[in-house]
Amino acid sequence: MTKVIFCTCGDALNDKIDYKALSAYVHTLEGVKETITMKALCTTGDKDALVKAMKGAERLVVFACTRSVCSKPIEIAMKTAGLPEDNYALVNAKEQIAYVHLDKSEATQKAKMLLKAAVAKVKAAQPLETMTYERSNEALVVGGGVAGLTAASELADQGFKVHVIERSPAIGGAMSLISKTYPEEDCTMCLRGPRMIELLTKPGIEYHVSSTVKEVERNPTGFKVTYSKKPVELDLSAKKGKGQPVEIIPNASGKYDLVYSDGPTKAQLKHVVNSKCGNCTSVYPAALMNIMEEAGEKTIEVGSVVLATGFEDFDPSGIPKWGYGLNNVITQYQLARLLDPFGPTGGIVARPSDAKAPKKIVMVQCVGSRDQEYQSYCSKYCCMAAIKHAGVIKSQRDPSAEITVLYRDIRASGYGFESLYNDTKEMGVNFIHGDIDNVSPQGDGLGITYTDGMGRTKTLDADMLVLSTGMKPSKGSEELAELFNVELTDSGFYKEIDEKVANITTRAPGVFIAGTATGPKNIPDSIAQAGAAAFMGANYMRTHLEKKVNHPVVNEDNCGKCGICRSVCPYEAITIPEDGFPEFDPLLCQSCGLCVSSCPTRALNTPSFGYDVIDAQVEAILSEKQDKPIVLGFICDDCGYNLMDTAGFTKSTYSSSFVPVYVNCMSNLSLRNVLNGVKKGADGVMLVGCVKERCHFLKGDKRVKGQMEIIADFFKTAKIHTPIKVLESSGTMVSQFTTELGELMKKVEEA
Amino acid sequence: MARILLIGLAGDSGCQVAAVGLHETLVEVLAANELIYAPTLIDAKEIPDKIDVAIVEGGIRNTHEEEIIKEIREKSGVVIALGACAAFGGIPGLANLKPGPELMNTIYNNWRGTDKGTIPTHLVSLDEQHPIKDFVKVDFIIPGCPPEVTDIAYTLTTLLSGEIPKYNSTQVCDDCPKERLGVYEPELKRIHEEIPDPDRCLLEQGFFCMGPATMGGCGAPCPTSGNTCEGCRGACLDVTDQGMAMIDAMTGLLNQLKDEFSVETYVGQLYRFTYAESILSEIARRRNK
Ligand code: SF4
Ligand code: SF4
Ligand code: SF4
Ligand code: SF4
Ligand code: SF4
Repeated sequence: MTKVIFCTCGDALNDKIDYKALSAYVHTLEGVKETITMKALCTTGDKDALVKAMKGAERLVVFACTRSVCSKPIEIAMKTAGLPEDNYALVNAKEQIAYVHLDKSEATQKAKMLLKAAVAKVKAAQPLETMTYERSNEALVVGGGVAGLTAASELADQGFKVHVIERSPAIGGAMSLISKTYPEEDCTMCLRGPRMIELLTKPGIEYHVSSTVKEVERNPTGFKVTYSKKPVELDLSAKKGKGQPVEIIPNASGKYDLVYSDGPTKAQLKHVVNSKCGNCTSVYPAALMNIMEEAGEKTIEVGSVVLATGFEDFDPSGIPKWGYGLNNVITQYQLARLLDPFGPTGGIVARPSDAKAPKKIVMVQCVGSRDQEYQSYCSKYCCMAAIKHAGVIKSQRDPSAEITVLYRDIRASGYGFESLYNDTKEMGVNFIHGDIDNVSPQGDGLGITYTDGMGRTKTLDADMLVLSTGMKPSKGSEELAELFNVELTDSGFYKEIDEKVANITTRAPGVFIAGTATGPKNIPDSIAQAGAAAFMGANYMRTHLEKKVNHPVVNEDNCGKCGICRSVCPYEAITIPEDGFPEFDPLLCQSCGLCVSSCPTRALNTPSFGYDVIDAQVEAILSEKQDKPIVLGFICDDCGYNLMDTAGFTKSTYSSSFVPVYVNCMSNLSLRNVLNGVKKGADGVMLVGCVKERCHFLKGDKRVKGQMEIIADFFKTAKIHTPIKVLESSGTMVSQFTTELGELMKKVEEA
Repeated sequence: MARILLIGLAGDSGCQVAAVGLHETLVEVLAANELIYAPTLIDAKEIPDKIDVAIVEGGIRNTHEEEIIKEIREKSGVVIALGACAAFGGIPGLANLKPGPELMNTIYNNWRGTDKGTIPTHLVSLDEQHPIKDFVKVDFIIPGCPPEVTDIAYTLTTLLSGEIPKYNSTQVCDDCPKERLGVYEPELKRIHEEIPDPDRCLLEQGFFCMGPATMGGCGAPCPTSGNTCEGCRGACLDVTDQGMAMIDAMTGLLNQLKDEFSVETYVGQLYRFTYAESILSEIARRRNK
């Protein structure tokens, strides 16, 4: 027995839809025994009444407003009433009927069609079982920089075992190589020393350094990740009189050398001098490496993943205006290394050409950033890095040094940033608004030409030029993104699902992102984001342990094991055992319906979607067709539903000839469903799916386009003039929808 | 002693010849029953009364055939559609892609050897080729082009022994011995264009094999011998449109198909035998009225 519950939205819809007529109408439908009319079922006031109204129903149709408002109250009430939560169909009378079709009789007629379709839908669909399962209890963090380590530490604190895969031979990342951080010029020593040692020895964290991810396989409990570890050859024998090994430096032959803690020796300074390019600065604190692990490939199983692969410096080589490659032109990051007491010069600012202290230093901002030719975005941290370094040199190294910062805009918008900027100005650091044009050797120093803020060409001379290079996604992010099925932004950073409300979550369930790998940011922001990512990763491993069983079932009388379903499945959820029928992994299956719509023998069906459910609705709608033409809308339940709602919210009216049938993805739609609609009397068809590459089920957008191109050709050959239109739409492209529908209606009238 | 009728309408007698290929079974059938009408074998004019089993080959293309099939239905206990033409319209059904008069004009006035001929008028053509089910109720179909002799024998012997024949078939692939690896070549080609790997599924190699969308039961002789299945046994059980079923499957596999695909090249593959019964042609017919 099907019950129909009408809600009048506080009587607001009474003069827009004829409720009496509808109530009488649904009584004529097969299986409908009872109708109840309520005023506002979403309110707590109506809560008990709603539960009471539902009791005893086998199936439920609710005629109310948008699902974003009323689905939760309905589902809670169903649970209370002891009904399976998903055994109902909702007709959105407000946003999808009353607000968009102003003529009361038209609205009522469309409501009839949608009610009939809903009654048919609940009849054809079956309630779903819920299954429970467990996820793997280990987590993976890729990247051993400050974001990765924070995430790893938080996860370990929550009791999870954590694997950290780091490409370089030591953990710590960029931050551990910078001795001072802004705004308070905190010394990162405490991080590199005790904090790193604490992390390195923290129970629950296992580090895999010199390792890269090679293969990722998603399975129900998480991910099977294969990584490969390359050997690091190092001479670890004790060296007399050299102190402790503090750093590892990559050498020319691709191997690594150790640097010892016996202060700035000649040899070290020589190293700086020799390595003009600044290779000396890509070093790793020696204490933080783990070379004991055996080299080779290994596979681990994890339940959630945090990608925190950090950034890479923009490489200004070869671009004349910045002069990188000339003597004494270094990057801001290389300067940070020179300032580090544990760095290659023991903290002495020595210029590479002759190891002398530079007297005149010029810093250039926005190198590679905010530049359409290179990276259009602002790298956010470099203004503050320059300010900090200028201040450190002035206050702690050489108060008489002349420092000039050539900037476009100073971006100092964090806590304490502005006052650090002001302090630095007070110390006598010279800030000039301008853009660099050229650098050339001049005497034993450099001559710099720039255009100042007024458009005048000016010059500066310097002993050393420091380039504030921007941040780029680190090498290998693209491959990693592909392995984990994470999207990239145009700039190549990992892309979140939503910039605002879900900026740590990616399109791959269970994969979270943090730190500069998601875009330029400073240390506090990276740490905050990493903490959040760890929390979400932990939560993901603890929850999501329930799933509705909603995978297709195979009708063995029809299936000849052609294997097409197995090949189309975007989630590899189908296996066909030898001499057996297709089997579906209930955890892997995402219910996209692609296999159902692709099976040429119609052997597949599903409890809540697929052929019969779609056909039942199509036929119900068209059986109510009167003289007005009908345009069937096959609409994706995600973006498409939201689009229909947005049209209602914005009260954008459109033809009531348009009647929607929701499918869970365009992948779910078969041409046989569409043709059945046309056969049963649809005068036009509109398919509304997600915009390109945004399909929630990976293949829907491409598939439906492929189908429609072919059907359009067939229609032409067979001289069928029924117009079919595919609309790729996000949830907000209302005017595009109404325009396209308007055009479609014109074609319907012409046909 | 059952009275059997064997007749050919808009077809080419191939199925009747296949029926005769029953060999010993034919002898048995004939010994126990009476072949009361079979113009291909025995001269006959009038359709006799009281037919127990009418075996009809060929579809309906003109009013004369329409009358005959109606008469047969009236006089028969059981009507069997024999072969693709009777069952689905068959190859002549592809002609439905062109309007009847235009087609007649092309064939009789504008074809090699028929230049400026006369369009025959002694028969009144219908606009389209039809399967017989468009005019009368059909009790059983024996699909194929031509049908399998074993199917004919089974249907007849079962029926004549008073039982209902059951067809238990899925798709041609079910009987096909080719190895399926699950990986599909994105470039489509037809079987004359290249020599396929003899052991592997033809469709996976990009050859347009209709096996998946075709009712099985034939034992997959064509793919077994290295040829693509042309789909002569029609759509699978519960499928209303063979060609669309195949396009759904192919777009599921390859998503974008259009570059590889032109209706002109492939309509004869997708609908070689079933265009006349397809939803597509049904819609076209209704629209053009
Ligand atoms: S932070 Fe400053 S230097 Fe860095 S890109 Fe932004 S504006 Fe330029
Ligand atoms: S696609 Fe259909 S017929 Fe082929 S194996 Fe899958 S379920 Fe069976
Ligand atoms: S419904 Fe989608 S995810 Fe599930 S088995 Fe079919 S194709 Fe795979
Ligand atoms: S060759 Fe044809 S019939 Fe054989 S398995 Fe492949 S698609 Fe099916
Ligand atoms: S394999 Fe295909 S074309 Fe060959 S007999 Fe069977 S159905 Fe007909």
